[in-house]
Amino acid sequence: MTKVHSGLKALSKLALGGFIAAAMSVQASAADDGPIRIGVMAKFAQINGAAILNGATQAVEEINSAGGVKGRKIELIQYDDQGSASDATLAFQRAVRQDQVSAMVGTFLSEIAITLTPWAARLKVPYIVTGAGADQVGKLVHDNYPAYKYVFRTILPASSTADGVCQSVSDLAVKQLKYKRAVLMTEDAAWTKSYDEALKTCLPQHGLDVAETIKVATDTSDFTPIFQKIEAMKADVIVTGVGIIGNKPVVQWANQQVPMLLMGYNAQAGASSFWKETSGATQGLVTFTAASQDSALTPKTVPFGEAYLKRFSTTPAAHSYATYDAIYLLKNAIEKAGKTDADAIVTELEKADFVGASGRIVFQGPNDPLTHDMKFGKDFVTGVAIQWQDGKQVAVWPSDIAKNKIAFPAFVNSAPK
Amino acid sequence: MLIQVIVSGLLISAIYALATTGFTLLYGVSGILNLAHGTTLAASGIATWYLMGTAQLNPLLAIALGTLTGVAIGLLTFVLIIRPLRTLMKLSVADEHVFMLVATLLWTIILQEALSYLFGDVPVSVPQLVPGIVEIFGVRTPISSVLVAGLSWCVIAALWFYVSKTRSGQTILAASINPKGLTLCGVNLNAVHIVVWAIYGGLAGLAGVLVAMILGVSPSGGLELTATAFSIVVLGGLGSVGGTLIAANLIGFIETGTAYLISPSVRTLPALIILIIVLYVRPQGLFGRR
Amino acid sequence: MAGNTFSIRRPLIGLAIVSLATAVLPYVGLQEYSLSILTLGLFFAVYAMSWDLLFGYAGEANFGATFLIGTGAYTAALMSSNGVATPLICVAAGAAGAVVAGAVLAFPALRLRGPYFGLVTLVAVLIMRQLIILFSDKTGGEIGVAVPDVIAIEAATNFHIALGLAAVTALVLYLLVKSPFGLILEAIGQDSVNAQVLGFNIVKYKLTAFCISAFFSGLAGGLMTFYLGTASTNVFVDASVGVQIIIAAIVGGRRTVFGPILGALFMAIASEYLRPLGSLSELAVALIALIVLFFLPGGLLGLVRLARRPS
Repeated sequence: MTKVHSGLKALSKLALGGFIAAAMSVQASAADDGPIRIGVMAKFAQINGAAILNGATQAVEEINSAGGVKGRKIELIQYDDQGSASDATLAFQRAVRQDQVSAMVGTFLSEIAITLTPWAARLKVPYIVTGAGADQVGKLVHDNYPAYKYVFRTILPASSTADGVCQSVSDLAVKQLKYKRAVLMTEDAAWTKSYDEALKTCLPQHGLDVAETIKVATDTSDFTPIFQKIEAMKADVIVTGVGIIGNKPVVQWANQQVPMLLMGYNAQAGASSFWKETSGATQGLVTFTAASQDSALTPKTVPFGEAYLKRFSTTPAAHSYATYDAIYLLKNAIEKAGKTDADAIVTELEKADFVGASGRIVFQGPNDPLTHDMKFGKDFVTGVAIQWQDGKQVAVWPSDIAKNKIAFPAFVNSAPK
Repeated sequence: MLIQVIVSGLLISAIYALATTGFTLLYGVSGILNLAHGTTLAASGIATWYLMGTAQLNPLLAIALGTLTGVAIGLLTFVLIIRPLRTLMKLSVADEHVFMLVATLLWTIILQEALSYLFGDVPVSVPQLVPGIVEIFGVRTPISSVLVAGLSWCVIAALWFYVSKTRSGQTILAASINPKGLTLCGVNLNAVHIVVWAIYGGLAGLAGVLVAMILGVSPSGGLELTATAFSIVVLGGLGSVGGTLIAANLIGFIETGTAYLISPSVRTLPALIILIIVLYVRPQGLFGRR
Repeated sequence: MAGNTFSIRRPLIGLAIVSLATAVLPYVGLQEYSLSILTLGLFFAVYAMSWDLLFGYAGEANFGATFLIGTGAYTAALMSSNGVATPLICVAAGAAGAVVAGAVLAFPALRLRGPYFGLVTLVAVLIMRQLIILFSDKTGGEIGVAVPDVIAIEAATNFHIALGLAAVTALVLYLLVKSPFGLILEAIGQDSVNAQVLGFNIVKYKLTAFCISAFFSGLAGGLMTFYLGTASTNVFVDASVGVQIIIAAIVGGRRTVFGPILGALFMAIASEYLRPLGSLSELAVALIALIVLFFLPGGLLGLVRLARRPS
């Protein structure tokens, strides 16, 4: 009988050896004159991930058909992180160690961005976050500079989003619609802590009282009690902050005909497929986002939106703009540096002053609070507020570029209470 | 406030009841805990969403096809997972229980990933059958929610009638009590199982469509739905349809009451804690037999 | 019942040889990337072995493995991020915290059977997840907790840590299940009424098994946190991660101690090969697991045994 066991050991040893031998044979190397490899990582089965992939693809195809980076083509390699930080670290290591990419872009989950930030430093590879908005990423880079200098971000962090929501809501709700009282409804999550604080101070300063802040569990299925409560508060408008549960509050708001506009920030509503997913219930919803197809933030915004629509039969989301700009930033940095050396690329990215599709991108420095996040505000990146009108996102803010006014769904009374 | 809790509680409890009836029926008759239950609901809801939105089908036809999707998945679960497990593996009763849980979990992942691949992993909502609202004791309520609640109770009543008043329903009941005896009477047990799984699939399918209409569904949200159904069924007592209906209302009202009276952010916690307490004090559930 | 009666020395020698042979892999040309696949696979192996101690021996289907792992991971991460202690002390505290969690989980196991116990363990994970989100100002919520320190940066060192942990876990668990304690535990798991009649103190045995399972789960959770650099709910407190652990244990071969290692490594390596399938790769892994479940009830280890058994 003992034979069985020792034989078993021998066999399992053999089997393991086989796996490993095969694992070792998967290898690649990038020569200095071959294509420049850039990795794009996200969970592609999700809308946000598809938006990231499409934005990157669009930029790479444009650059390659225009002659590449000083004659070298860009090769885009995809890594699916399946939405898990452990899968993401594995894929990140594969990208750098096996496929020898020169830079990474992507990621829309903050927990993954935070996990990968130290890995980018350990493996010394430039990594541009194009989807995840937690302030912690910029803080990590700030607190660990220069070790973590490899991480940049081209999507607005939560604090800038709060800033943009406050500006757009006070322009639209206070100045245009003469509203006086708002209810803040945000999901109960880590990112909304600073978001709530910022809006609770900022909105009243602009003349919009915050009657109450309602926190909503991220696994809430039935919003009836919440909307009933809000209505009892006699507010004029609901200012939202949702990034995880974007669909349900909007659909139930429409079904229950809650007679107030939804404004603020809804991450899912920034994606073009949101109309279809909600079967049109999003009619009338206002959200802050990076850019929209009809808003000429820069000369590149509208052409990018049109090309994207033609190529992917859908309009770009905030993550698409961010990833598109990230690839161009990398192209410029590599051209200026004249090599794909990580430290040289980082130096050039820090010096970048680039007009992209989402605005003029200049990164904050090591002494700013959110190092390597984009500078926010007039003359830099401003974002837009869009409203869903008859299946389309139309820009309603900032007033100098928005061609449309706020429209009201049938069940919302336009006058302040 | 109290009226609001009662109206919203009644509406949400009706959906909970319908969404868990199939689950408990299946356990009562064939002793199977189908962990793919929530994903079956999600699949039916997503199918209806797709047929109504992208394929532009007539809403009633889309709802019928969505329900049929549930029937199809129910039958597939039986043919691909349950029957092979029972015929291929010769397991003891205790082992079979655990392997059934593992196999239906794997089946959940397969369904969920297939749905994500085909439709994307996003929450979707089926448009309302009848848009508009009514006032019930001053509480503004969507007409669709009222219809859905009414429909849920009608279906549950029809199920009760079928099982207790028709011959074929009695056969199923007999199969759950004494399968061997039934075989001796010349009844084809396999055919009985197929009927049970088809009924289960129909219940789950319709529930999925209605859940997608009122609350929305997503491929990866299936497990969460299973967990809710599981909690309700265990609270009521495994296999007891009456217990399930009472437990569905209990959980629906506790959740709604918590959201109104305490805070929406802790909506599900009290129900979960009560569930654990009940399990400690009365492990067989409120209305279950040992 | 040949499997239980013959010498336990040979499997242990085998374990030592395999561990040492694996330990030199970084020096014989194995790529750093392949090492990182095996590193994660080995952490999973510890989870799966610990889970199988409860399932295969104590007869309890625990759907809340991540309740134990998560306690270890978050205890370690929160201590480290608040600057309380060095990484190794944090990991030790994580393991201790997990033992407490294991004791908490053991109490329903003593009262409830089968699906009822399974439900409680599932609910435990859901409640823990909700508490983490609810107290996100302390726990990092959905964003997670970044740990400022690391134990090691080099791929080879991390691999050796994971390998050492897996080998020690396998050694301890194997000695345990072959000891009188393990045999009684197995008897209780298979027929608790009979065992009670024979005079064994069921509470003592089950409680001990839960604490041991929790200890290794928490230890691995804490170490993996320092390897990844973050504790987050999607990795450490998630019902579907618990499902992956169950799949690894069943595919490898339950009630074998060594089987779950094979299963976990198989899953890690298989998903690497299935990577080109993109988002369909998880579907393929589940399909493979289902086929193994149906056609190889003894798992991969059972297949090896079958092939070696002379007719």
